[in-house]
Amino acid sequence: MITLPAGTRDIWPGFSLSIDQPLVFQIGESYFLKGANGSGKSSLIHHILLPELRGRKELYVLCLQQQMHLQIYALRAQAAIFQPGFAIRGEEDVWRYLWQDLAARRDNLPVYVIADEACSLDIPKDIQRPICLIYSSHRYQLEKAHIVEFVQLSPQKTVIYA
Amino acid sequence: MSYLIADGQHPLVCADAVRDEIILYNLGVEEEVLLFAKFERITAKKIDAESKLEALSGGQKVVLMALLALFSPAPRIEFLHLSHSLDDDKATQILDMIKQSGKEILLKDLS
Repeated sequence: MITLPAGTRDIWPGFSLSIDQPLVFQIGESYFLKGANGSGKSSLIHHILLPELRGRKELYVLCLQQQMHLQIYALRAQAAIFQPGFAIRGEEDVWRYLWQDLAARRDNLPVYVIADEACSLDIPKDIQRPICLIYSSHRYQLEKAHIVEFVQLSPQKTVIYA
Repeated sequence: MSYLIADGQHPLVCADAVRDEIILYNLGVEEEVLLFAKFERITAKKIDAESKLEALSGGQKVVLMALLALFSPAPRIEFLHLSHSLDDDKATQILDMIKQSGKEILLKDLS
């Protein structure tokens, strides 16, 4: 379980995110980051959530970035070394590659899946590992996902409610 | 027939300031003023030529890309993956601008 404490964080000069109540992300649950463009969803992921998850030995983090062309180039390079012939053309291939990589690991550590504006959220059926899914999208919402709402008070300030 | 390609999955090419994208799209002075005004109306965020691109959210980058393409001299534009990163309000405003642009426009992967 990951808990982000309540409080206000300056993301950069002229923009801050306020977390209304402690934000809890539990294994086995899904969380939908809901908010307009520019409300701070990616900022929460990159400036608060990922630094909290990074370096933890007891879990995996699988993060799909918004506008992921740089991530695609990086994974192509990795695949060329470790899985020659695995073609990574777009986001679907990135999903497949990362899940396959995770499935090959012989442990049952949980994985935090973070998908920032992902086109697809298809988690393979044969994945036995415990998962916490945190995603943002303007196109769909999973039925059982908890809503984490980003309310923009001004271009300079957003409050996050769970 | 050649088209200016504007892809919402790779909205901006430059890494520094808005000015670089304006040069790339060959906008005139009048179009530049219109671009900033329209961007502020759609996103409620004020930008100018010196604004850093890294300070824009993913969706704001897509809005900027669409406006740059629409205000550019290109008579034909092909938009790819345009609405995926936009909330409903911004997608509607951009699509309205496309309809009113008078340019020849193709929309693909409008998911």
